[in-house]
Amino acid sequence: MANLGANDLKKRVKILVDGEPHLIVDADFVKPGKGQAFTRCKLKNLLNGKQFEKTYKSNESAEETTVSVTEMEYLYNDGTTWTFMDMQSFDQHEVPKETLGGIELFLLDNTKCEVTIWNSRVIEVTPPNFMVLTVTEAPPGLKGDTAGGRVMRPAKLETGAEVQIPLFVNEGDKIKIDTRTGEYVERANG
Amino acid sequence: MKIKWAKFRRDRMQDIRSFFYQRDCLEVEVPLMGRAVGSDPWLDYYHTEHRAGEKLYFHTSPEFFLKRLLAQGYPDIYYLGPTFRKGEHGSRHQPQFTILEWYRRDQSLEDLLKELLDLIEKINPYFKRERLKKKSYAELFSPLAVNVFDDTLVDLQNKIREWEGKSPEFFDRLEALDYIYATRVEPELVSEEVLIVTDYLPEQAALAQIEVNSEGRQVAKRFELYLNGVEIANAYQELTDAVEQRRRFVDDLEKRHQLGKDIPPIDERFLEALQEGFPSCSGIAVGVDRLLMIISGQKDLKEVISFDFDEW
Repeated sequence: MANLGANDLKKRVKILVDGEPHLIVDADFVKPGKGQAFTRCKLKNLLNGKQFEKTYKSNESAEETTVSVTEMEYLYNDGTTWTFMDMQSFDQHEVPKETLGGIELFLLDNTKCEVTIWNSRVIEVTPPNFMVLTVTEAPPGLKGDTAGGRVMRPAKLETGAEVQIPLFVNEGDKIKIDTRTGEYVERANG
Repeated sequence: MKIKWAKFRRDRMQDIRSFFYQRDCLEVEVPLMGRAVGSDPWLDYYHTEHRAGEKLYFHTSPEFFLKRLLAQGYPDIYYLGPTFRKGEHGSRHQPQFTILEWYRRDQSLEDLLKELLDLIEKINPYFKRERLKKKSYAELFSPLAVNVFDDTLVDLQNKIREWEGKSPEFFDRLEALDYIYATRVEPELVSEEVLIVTDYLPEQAALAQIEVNSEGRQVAKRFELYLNGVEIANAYQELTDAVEQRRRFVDDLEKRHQLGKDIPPIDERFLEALQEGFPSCSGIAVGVDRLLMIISGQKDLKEVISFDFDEW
């Protein structure tokens, strides 16, 4: 892929650092006093999520890299890998549990996810922002936590996810949760 | 840019002009282009042609023209207008920016600093000059156990390797110091409201005189003002020795050559002016856009100018 000069390192561009894909979260041209210029980048390692700063000299360069995002359907898992199917090609991809970063707790059979691939490797799976899931275990409210005025109690969902739910929600109810935060949003009809 | 900021900017420019009017400093205009341009190895310039083969360069500072005027006998003068730095664009850089540059005959750097603080107070009544701290360039590096005078290129690369696992390649120890400054020193300066940095290395003197400090080290007679970690002003006790100035220009051009950069002509008319009789004076340049950015609490120059470079 193209080699980018320090001046072309801009926000949202993806580059390789030590052979791994990184997203440039922010980049700024920096020229302290009388001396050479640098491009100071905030980078995020797309494999492990780590964020750090890296400063490039004006005559340095970085190799650009790309990731592709495809829609895939979740099929099943065996406890260690989760299998997804590309709806266009019908290729199946086995994704290690660690790569999912906890979102596996929001997946139902055939849930459609956005899968980010780099170098033929799945590096991120993003479920829909909201999922409707059934409450399977919800012991009656003991002394609930008051969070922002709502009185909440712990519950378990059909996927194994643990969430806080309001007192008026019972076992068997379907609820809508925000997969980005893992929080209860509202009861779901039907 | 919102119209509110355009009015704010107009008011502050008015303040700057009345400040100098009241203090008998004459505003002058100078050409934006010249037949020569500054030789600083780290400044890149735009050029154009008057007629085929007659190259003209957009100035990276009005300094050479202003000094020629001083040599001709002009009184204390200032320039308030655009200057150009090719390739510089970021939150604190625009390839064209507004510079304020003034010269005071027979005044010391201390006097100039006082005047700079007076000016800032005029355009920003909330400015707290008593918060001012002074540090030498060497002091800024001492928390990192870096000795800016004695550490060799190898020493500096070793330190960088200790901190970061590996070190970039550097042309010379100055470049290594610049890198450490950009990565470890400058980001810390944001916590200093008003900071003066003095006693730069003699290699960083450019057109300033060199003196010996209290520890017997050669340092440049130069200071920079930082507000909230942003470099706002750069002041010199101006070099008046034409021979020394030419020597520095030649050094610069040699370095430009080693860096594979364009070699501009030496400004002979400027050197002539130095030779003929250049008054003892101190001079200072202020990044006006940056100053306006800071006093209005913004974080990017594009907030205080009409068109960011990306929108030209």
